[in-house]
Amino acid sequence: MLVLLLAGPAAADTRDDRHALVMLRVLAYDKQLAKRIGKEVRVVVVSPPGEEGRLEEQRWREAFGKASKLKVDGRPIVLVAHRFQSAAALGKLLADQHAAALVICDGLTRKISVPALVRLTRASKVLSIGTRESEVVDGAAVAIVSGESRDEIVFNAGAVEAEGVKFDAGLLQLAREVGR
Amino acid sequence: MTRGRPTRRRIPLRTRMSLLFGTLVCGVALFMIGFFPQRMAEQARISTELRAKTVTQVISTAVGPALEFDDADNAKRILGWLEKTPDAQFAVIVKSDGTQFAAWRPQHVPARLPSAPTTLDGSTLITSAPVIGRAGGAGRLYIGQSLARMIADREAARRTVLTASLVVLLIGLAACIVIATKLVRPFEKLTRIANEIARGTKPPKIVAVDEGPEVEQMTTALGTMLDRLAHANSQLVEASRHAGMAEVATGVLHNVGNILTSVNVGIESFAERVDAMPDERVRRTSELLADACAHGPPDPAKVTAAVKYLAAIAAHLRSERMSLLADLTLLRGHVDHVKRVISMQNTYARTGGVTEQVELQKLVDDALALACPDPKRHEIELVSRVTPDCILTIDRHRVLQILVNLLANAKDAVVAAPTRRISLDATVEDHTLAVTVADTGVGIPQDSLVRIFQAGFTTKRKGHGYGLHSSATAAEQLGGTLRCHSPAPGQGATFVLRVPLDRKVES
Repeated sequence: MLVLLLAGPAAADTRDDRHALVMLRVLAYDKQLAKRIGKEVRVVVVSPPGEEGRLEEQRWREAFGKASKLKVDGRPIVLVAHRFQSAAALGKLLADQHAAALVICDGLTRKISVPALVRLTRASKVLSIGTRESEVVDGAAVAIVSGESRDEIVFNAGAVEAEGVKFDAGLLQLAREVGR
Repeated sequence: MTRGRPTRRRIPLRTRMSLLFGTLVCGVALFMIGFFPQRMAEQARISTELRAKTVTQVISTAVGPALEFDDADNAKRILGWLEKTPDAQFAVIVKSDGTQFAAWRPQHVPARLPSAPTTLDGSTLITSAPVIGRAGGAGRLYIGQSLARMIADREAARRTVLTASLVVLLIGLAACIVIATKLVRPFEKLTRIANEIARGTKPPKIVAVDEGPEVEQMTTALGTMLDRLAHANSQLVEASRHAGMAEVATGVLHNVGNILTSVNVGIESFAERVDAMPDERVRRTSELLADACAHGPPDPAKVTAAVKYLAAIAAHLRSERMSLLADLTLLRGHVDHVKRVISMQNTYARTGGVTEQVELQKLVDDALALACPDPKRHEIELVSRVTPDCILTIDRHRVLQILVNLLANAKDAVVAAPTRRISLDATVEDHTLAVTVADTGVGIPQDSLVRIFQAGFTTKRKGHGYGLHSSATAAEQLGGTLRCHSPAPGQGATFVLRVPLDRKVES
């Protein structure tokens, strides 16, 4: 389940399509994916409450919608959108959904800090995926960021391991480690 | 016209062995030249292909994430690992849509990439492998590798094998000749010794040769064979001498036996006639005269009668004396013949023999007298027809011996037959004496005719089987022939002796 947390202005564009695609591919390189999820790959998109959150939710729904035909590890992708209310509710959602990943939307970090967020993801063994490098530095596992010429995958090795994820070495070769 | 069989050229053993070993060595060398370079080249190609495929597989796996995440830089970095592969010429990753994703040394990438996983394009080996990401991304990696080094190595190996093969060939051929010579030498020695034995040259003592146990055994065995051969030869000579002596003795016994029969008859007749001498009557006549004179003057009539009686006795004695002298002469002739026979057998008179002038009629009469001295006693009809007044220069004793044998056999044959007739015809035609002795006796079976002249063969119960053999031998020694013919058993037999005459017949 992908929790979409809207932490900033919402906008669905090709960049989001790419990022969504990359996020799903990153999940494919998790060797522990089958142990963490059920028959579906649930991606929880967590967005902040209010209008900002609605736009973010819509943005990621469109982005992931274009990638909906994909399968990860032979499993279909299911997008779950959640407006943040409280950490407890979010924690319960993550536990109930057996989510594979949680996407941190723009503006979410104003409602809940990244460390507090990752405490929830680590408890439920959900991969936290951000859109900023700072989020990875603060404790998120992975972020897809736009570089000068291309998109870049950054990861926090400790966070990745804490969330029960074990990435393939091939992915790690491509990604850049931060936050050690 | 018959075509003769071609003479097979005989190749010496040494040459044959050298050729055999040389052929083997050449075969090995040719095998090395033909097999090893090709095999090595094949192995090198397989090894190169396998190595190239392995490298391609490894790199294709490594570049999978880069292709999946569209990280061309990372892909190029991974392709750059091929810098450490000296034979690598280029590498390129092509996406599933056909576009080039990343390349290493793109200037060497050919315009058309092959579809097969492994392709040999001249001196370049191009291998390819699929690039598959965990999330489904796909493409294909192509790596080109130069085969120049492999080709160079192959050529070097071929030269090495060729050189080694030539060396092996030369050394092998030399070794073949040496080995063949060494192996054949003792056999050549033994062959020379065997040839000397065959020529009759007494070979020197065979010295044992140290050429291996087999040759040594052969040499020892040959020496033993030579000793045994010499011993057997001496035994054979001794046996031949004894056999010859036996043959001489048999011949003497047989021929002398024939003559002794007539000598016995002559002696018997002589004894009877001596026994019939009128010595008793002479004694009685002298007693009568003495008695007549004792009582005065004898009666003239009685004296006259006594004188007439004595005169008659004297005439009888004179006649008997002449007859006895003739018989003695005949006996002397027989004894002389016996001596002659013994002399002939002792000296093996093959080409010898005394030729003398002989009257043919007398010769025949002598033969009849010797062989059949008393034909009337056996009721045998003897008929002889001889060319009259014919004098021959011939070996009398040898011809007489033959005729006596033939007549004696004829006599033995007719004795048991219902008709007892022996005929002898002696003629001279074209400088050849032809004597035919025919009888009406028991005849000779056809299967015995071919063996009748063999030594030891006889149809008589008490025969020695030597008479006809010696007669045939004697005829041969005279340069003539002795033939036999018999229609069937019970129909008699005919023997024909033909002897060439050396000088003109006088008649």
